[in-house]
Amino acid sequence: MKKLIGLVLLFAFFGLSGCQDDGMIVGILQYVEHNALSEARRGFIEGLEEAGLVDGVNISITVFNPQAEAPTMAIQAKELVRKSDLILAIATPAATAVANEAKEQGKKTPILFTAVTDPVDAKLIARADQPGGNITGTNDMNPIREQISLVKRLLPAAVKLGILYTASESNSQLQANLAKAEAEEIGLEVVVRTINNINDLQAVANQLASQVDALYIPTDNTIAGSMGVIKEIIEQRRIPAIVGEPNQVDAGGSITYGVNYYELGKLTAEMAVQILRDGKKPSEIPSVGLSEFDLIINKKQLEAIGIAIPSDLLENAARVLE
Amino acid sequence: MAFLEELRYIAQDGIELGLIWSLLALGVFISFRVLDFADLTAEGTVTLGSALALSLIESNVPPLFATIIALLGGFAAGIFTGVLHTKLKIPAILAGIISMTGLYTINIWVLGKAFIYTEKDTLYSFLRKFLADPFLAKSLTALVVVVIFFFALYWFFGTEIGMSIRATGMNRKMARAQGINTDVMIILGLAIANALTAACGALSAQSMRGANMDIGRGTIVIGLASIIIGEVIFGKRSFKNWLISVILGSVIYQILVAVAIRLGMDPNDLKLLQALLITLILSLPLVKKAVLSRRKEVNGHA
Repeated sequence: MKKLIGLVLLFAFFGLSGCQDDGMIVGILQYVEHNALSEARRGFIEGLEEAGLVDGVNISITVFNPQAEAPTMAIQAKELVRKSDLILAIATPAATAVANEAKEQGKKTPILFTAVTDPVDAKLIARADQPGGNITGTNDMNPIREQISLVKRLLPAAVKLGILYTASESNSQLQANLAKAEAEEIGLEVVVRTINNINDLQAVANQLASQVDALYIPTDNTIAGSMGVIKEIIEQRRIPAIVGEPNQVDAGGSITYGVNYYELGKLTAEMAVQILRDGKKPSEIPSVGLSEFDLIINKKQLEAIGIAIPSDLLENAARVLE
Repeated sequence: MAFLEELRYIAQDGIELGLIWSLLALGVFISFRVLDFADLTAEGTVTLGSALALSLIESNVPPLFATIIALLGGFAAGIFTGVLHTKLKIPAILAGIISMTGLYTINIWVLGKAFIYTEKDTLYSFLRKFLADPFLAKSLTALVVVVIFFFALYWFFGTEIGMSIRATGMNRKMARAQGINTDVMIILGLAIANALTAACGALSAQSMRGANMDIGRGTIVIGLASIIIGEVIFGKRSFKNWLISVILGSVIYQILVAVAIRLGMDPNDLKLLQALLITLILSLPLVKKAVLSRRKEVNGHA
């Protein structure tokens, strides 16, 4: 009996708190607490604000974060699909959960996604330029072409590029393949090596570094955790390491063009404004990624290696490690 | 009325998710409660089950077969942990950690990429053809699976082998003295437990139509919380009663999560709430005892 009363009180409480609903309801499902994903969320909310859509004033924003827990995410996705006028899903699992739930409930609620690397592969959209359905959004694919172009900017005479990644990480493999194609296109000879686990890293990286002019390491969770090993090797061999993301520069890589998740969130907010204010449909808004990227330069390291950094790179850098 | 509708949604979400995840609770129940073995393999086998089921469905294997293969995958992982513990004498927790670590690589390999999404028919599609309401289709499908497992487990743990597993969990030395091959019982018990958790992964992934490496994360806590809630509310008078309590406990747990979500809690507080909830419920018997003994004392003095 006591349990029952407690339950009733609990229900009464949220019953009251859920009473006021004025204006559009924007639901956000952020897959997990992660710096990049939170930045995307912040960019989205501030982007809406800049367009005059302010939480608590003319729209009401609900943020859910299941912390990557599957059953919690399922409930949150159901709840958002039931009540929102527009949903932002951050990261691939959240995006497919929301898209699937909307399909199940037979709702046409507009859905936006962000921080999804390959939305076509995740079957969120049919094609980037023609998303189809009630979903579109922004991808966070690394600018691999721009990253590879840095090889020739730093070392105009470079001939051989070494690409290193963890064999089991399919996302890294995808990027490595793209990087290889880009490098060969600009006339570089490419040597690809993979590691099976962190214990191989020292030996494989050392061997690879001994036969190339520069290294490329894509986003790779295993290597990212041991960038210190790479740092030592490249500083000793005096070759630069172009890396997949800014964090890897901070951890000992030389340089990268990285995705700015705050800007990515803002870009997604522009889509939301088109839907909420201009009455556009998601199917009419092409799915895109950022067109400009953050250049992060480890100046201290590159100078120690003996590389002269072109001044325009330094001028355009978002961040320079001195 | 909005409030009643809200109650209905909470009940629906709790029942649907609770039934699906009760398989995990049953698996954790068998290892932690029946076998008295703190088995961490579960975190890996939930992912294994989801990865196997979805990648097989994606390659056009019928969903029922995919689910059964997922279950067998969990069974095998359980055997592995059991062998580590009984034959190689590796402590229980460590054996589970080793399996979980090994499964990480296997799961990446089975998934083939960071994330799988399928648009093909799932286990739920069959009922969905007859039922327009996704909640009914999913919950009934899950209910059928849970009922099958319930009867299978109830029957099995009443057989001589099942009884031997329970005896092994209660007192390993005594069981051995009775001529029970406790090593085999532990291996078999863990295999069944992990078959259940893998089946849970398979059902959950098919419900979401997606699988990734994270699905097993934190699942042991969910399983334990469900068991404890079930025991506290519905009791554990007999094995049958205990099994039902675990299943209902899972439903109550998911209802509580659904309520917490609607309370508009800061999403990051949800984890803390879960931890607090489990601590609260775990300490309940102790509090009850203290209150009872105090009452007795008062009565005694009166």
